[in-house]
Amino acid sequence: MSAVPALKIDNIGKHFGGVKVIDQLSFSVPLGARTALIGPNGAGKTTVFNLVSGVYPLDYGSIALNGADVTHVSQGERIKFGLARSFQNIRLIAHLTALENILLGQQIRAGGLRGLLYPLNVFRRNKWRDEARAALCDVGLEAYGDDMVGDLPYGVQKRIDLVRAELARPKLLLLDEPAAGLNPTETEELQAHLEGLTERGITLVVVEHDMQFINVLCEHVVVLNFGSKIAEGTPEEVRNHGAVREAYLGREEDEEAFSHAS
Amino acid sequence: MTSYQTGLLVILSINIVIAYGAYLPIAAGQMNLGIAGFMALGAYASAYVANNAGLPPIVTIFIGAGFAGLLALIVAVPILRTRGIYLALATFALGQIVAAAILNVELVGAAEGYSVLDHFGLATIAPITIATIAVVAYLNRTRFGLNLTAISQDELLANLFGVRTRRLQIAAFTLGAFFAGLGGALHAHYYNYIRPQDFNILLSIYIILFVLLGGTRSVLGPIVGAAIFTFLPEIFRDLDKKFSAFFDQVPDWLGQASAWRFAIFAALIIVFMMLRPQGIMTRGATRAAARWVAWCVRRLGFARSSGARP
Repeated sequence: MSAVPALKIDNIGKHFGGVKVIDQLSFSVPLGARTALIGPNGAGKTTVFNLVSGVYPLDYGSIALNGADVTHVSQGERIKFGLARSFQNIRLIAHLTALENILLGQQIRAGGLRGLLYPLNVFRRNKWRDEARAALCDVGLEAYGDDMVGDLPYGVQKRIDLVRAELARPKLLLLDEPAAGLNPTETEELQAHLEGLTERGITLVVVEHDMQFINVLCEHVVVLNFGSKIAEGTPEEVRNHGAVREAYLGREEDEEAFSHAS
Repeated sequence: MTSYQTGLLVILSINIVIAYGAYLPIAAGQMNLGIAGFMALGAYASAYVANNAGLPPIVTIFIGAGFAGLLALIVAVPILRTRGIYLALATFALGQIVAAAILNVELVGAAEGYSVLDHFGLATIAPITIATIAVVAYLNRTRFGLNLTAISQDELLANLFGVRTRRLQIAAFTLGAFFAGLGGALHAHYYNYIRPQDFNILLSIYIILFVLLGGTRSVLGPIVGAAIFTFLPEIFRDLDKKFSAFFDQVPDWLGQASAWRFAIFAALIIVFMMLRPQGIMTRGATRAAARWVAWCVRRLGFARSSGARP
């Protein structure tokens, strides 16, 4: 494992009004691994993603991506450090087609004014559209390319959301509940797809409620409760951790219920 | 073509150019209620330079448009900090300031108005309108257009993907002001006489309505909106004569039936907006229109070739 982690969160904190949402949180995401971020509802998982991607400023602490301190880098610049993310509530641009949404993912690679004024839709073919279409084909969505994305089924939108983030060619990809709302077949396809991403050298951080999914996919798990880390380790280690069982189940011990917690 | 018809086409051409002035910021999610102010600046700057510097008006209209764009660029940084209704009010105030300032400048006739020497007819104005449509249609097919739509829908998301949201909004606002200034300059050289009150808030509101009614997501939207607003009042003009049987029934206390055409027009706009809040030309409608045109062309070609057969 490399000495420089893909993501290093160092003693960060965030409050909204009088509520401490994240409190003295530190953890690292090893390079090239698949890390899960889990915890009960309201534990602060999505807030961590929002802090890492710069949507909210930190109250204190620091965040580093691949060894570069990005604490004071604005949200629009962090993608340059190889960070991309997906959203729990899919955030596609409803008034654009599936293909155009994916073109948006390439924005960071398209360059300055020339990239901005490059004709995307004047000549029959160009490299950006070809690349986006190929990416749609890879996930079996070539038929939806020219449909308005707002009209598409949920599972399809979910995949488009993921492909769009991939086309930013990130080194670190934050996925907020990628399996939520998917049927078992789609979930298996997603698993295989995400494993493929790691093979291409992308580090993944996944927020997910489906423990089955995490057990299969992730080698590293960080557990949050009330904005603090209560456990960290392999899925096996975390599963048997006392504080984790307590956070999910109260004081009652029930292995069955925990392994299916959702 | 009668001179009445030519005149209508000129007004339509000018309205289309100005409509794009409102369309570009709206595409980026911003309402510019100061369009008339930018038009006034373009009109007066072009007229003054043409009258005094001896430059041909085909050059001075772009100088006028440039002035409008420059003003937009200067005020964009403070003004685009505001959002929604506050942005609309700030741009409204800006338009009022421009008109009020011109009202005090004796150099361009102040309240008396200003005579413009060089005249433009349809032959000059129509190509400029077509060029404007071409520029906007091109921009719509680049990342610039794509990013504007993304910004208007989800600014945060666009920003996270590396879209320079502020810069693009400033660019759209400035380019819009440029087109408004260009339209204002065309207006000056068509009517050959301009007054500060020609560029009032009512005009700004009408231009916003062109775009909202026509559609904000298609390059055809402003054209359709401008066409409706240009032609519909004209169609209503003779309505009382055509339907005299009906209009003779209108009781006297309601006044002249023909004077009601603007009320009818306004009521129709409200009905339109209720039935189709997304505007007439959505992207789906644009595609359907393109298919229909293609079909007509094929039919026409077929009819001709079969007709040519011996």
